[in-house]
Amino acid sequence: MQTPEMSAMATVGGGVAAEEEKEAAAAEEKEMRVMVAVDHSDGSFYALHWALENLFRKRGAAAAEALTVVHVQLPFQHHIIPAAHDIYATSIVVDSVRKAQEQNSAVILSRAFRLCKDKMVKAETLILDGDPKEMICQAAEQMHVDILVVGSRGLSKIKRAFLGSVSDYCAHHAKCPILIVKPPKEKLPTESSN
Amino acid sequence: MSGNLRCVIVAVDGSEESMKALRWALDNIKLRSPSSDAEAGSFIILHVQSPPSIATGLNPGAIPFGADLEVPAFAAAIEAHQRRITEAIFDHALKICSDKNVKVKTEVVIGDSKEKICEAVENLHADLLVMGSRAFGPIKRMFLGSVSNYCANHAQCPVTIVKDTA
Repeated sequence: MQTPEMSAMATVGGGVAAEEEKEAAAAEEKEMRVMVAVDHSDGSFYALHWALENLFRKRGAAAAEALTVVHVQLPFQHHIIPAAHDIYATSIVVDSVRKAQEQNSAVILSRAFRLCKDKMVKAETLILDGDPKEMICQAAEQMHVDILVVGSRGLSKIKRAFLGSVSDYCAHHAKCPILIVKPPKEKLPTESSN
Repeated sequence: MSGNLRCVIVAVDGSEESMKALRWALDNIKLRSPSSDAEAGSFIILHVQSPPSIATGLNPGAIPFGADLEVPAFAAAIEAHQRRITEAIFDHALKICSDKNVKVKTEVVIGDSKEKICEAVENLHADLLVMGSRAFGPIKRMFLGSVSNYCANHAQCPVTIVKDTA
């Protein structure tokens, strides 16, 4: 056994057998609860893809359901701007908007679910209504997730201030560790082996 | 199946939050295990030292010998002091690593922390950056330290920010 040195690589450990055992045991307990927030943007799907690639060890039937994919629908009132005080949305309009929203969410979540299935990770999906940033943080807290994964649009500072950033808000307010995945400059998420 | 992470940088600065982030990373991030076609993944513990001019305070006029750090004894004293701080930080970090039985490398850079961290991510082709965030207390817990905020926005790789839960 060598003592750890500052400037060189430090590897402290026992025999190979003990390490293997420890690794298996460590893999057992490393099933952390992951929550990934998705919306219609490609950035969030890239974040989901990255999480599936890198955060999950045990895959397949034996794995516990450790991934929650959450999608937050904006409340439909925002879409309707009343021209006068006494004009309210009729129930037909409300229903059709709601249906369109549900279709949208269904498309997004089925895409997410398919991605999870391809990577052989069990996932559950969750649809919430409300302001995305607040709902995501609330959901993460209520479900006691171990890590929250969000994509990022990569906005500049000024745009961030005006458009608001869900990833910024979550980074500030989520109680658990947060992973912010920005889409790569290249189109394909390849390994940086070049 | 192991993860695909080849290079994970953990930025430490001596605060307890960054050590907590290091412990979290060691516990939860699985690196690529050695196989025939790829080398094993490794953690890199990165510490950014503030440049000597900052270390003396922003008012060089207060130094009795003048604005420029031409006085070698004084500059050397500052550098030695900073080196000792860095060593202490790495000692603490490596002790944490040895408890967890993981391969780690250490790296020191001098400069402005947020820029240097993002630079290191680029130069080392990191797959993930882990950092703590400075928490000043329950009220300021709402605010992310400026370094982690900057890195979350500008680093080339995914960034994990580990906060200490109250």
